[in-house]
Amino acid sequence: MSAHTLSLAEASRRIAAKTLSPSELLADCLARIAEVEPRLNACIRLMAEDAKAAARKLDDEAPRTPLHGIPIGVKDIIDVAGLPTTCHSAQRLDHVAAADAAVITRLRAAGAVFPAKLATHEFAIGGPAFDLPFPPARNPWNRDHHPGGSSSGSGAAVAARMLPAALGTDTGGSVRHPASHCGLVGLKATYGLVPREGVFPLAFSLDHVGPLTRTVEDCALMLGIMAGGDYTQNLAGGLKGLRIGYVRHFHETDQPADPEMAAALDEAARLMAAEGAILSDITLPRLQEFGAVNRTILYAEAGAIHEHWLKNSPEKYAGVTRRRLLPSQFVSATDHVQAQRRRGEMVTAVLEAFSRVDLLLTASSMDPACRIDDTQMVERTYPRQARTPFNVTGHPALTIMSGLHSTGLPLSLQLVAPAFEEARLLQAAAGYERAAPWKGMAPNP
Amino acid sequence: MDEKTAETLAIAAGLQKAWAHHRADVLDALATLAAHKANLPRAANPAVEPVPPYRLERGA
Repeated sequence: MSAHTLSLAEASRRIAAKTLSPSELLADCLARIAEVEPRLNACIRLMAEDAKAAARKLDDEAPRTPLHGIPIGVKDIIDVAGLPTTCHSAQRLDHVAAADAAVITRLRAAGAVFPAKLATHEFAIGGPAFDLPFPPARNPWNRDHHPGGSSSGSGAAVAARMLPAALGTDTGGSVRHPASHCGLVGLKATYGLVPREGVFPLAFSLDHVGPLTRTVEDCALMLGIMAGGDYTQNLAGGLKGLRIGYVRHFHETDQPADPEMAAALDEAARLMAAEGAILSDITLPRLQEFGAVNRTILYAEAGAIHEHWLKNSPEKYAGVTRRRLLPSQFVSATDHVQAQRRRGEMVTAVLEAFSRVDLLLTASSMDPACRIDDTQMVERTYPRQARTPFNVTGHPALTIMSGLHSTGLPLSLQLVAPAFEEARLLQAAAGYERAAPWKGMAPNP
Repeated sequence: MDEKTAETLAIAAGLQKAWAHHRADVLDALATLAAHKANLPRAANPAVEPVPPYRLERGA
């Protein structure tokens, strides 16, 4: 088996057993990148020589952590010292990071190496777009389709077996969206658990940094380093006895999902019950309300960040980014405070739900990925999702594959836990992963 | 929204350049914001405080 196809955990075990060296793993990943990158556009910048030098040094060291010698892709809004952080934008082509982002510092200290900066929607909001300095990433399951975003390159690179894991960021679902469309595990941990220092902000109070991986165990290993702690201890615990609240109205009435997506969610609920979970229905505020609150807060915060460029160099944005950011310059202070007030009530509603259940089960995306060149479908389907509620409330949320659509594209579901209960979230996801037959399915880009 | 009103809002927001060169995007932005505004719920209690509340750190 080629090393690039190994899960992070399996590669880690082989490195620990000295049957695989960090240099061998990296070389195989770089060869895979050379093979498929021309078709996927997942990478903005390769740092092959830096990564090789780091891996050679690690070859001679005893592993200190499970990430020793593991190549990790970095969404290009996250600083790596000495390298440009372009945010996939002409506005930032000349920016060079002076220091590593806090999450890079932690991963580097754990022995990770960084072979590539990865494509993103411009400033984590504008895409997919064809009028930027770099082309948009494509979906490895079908290159005519988009991979989700904004962590688009992260999703494409991990799904295509270029790299075992990648970093993304999530303000309205941007880790979980590419995870949904690329058949991956994507985690947005509790707000604030993973440090954001050195990550170019989209909206300060909604932004999260999170991992994209191919398995739940890999996700737990990444989170352990990114947040500190051991998130693997409960992975074998399974679903038995867990009380799971199924938020049906998100995909049944708020934003009626593609029938195959809805059927896959029902099947997942049935499977979880068969594994011993106790399912019940839960009602939360409507998705449209969550979406409006998320957007209003996002506009207010992003508007402050982008004000100078929107006024002075709007032509340097992609058209889609400009259209998505310009509303920020018109949002009223009153609406922002109203949104923050309603946000508090929404947190209370989710807290109340968690007084009755241990986890929530919801849709992630309502549709499989559409064609990347179908602008109207992109605009129609991007907001059809149930991820933003948990950026508004800050609760940890994980997306995992729930099957294949008849078009051959991945389907997905989302699990949500109370604040700082990531271990329980990962336990349930691992239990579902063991019971469902999707683990190991891979695209052929 | 008519173009005259949109122009007034754009100029007031300092978006002269965007209005001159990307007028359709500015109009699109105003329409988008109006749609979100229609969906934005108001707190039931007029005295409820926003999240996150402003908080002065101890010792500041």
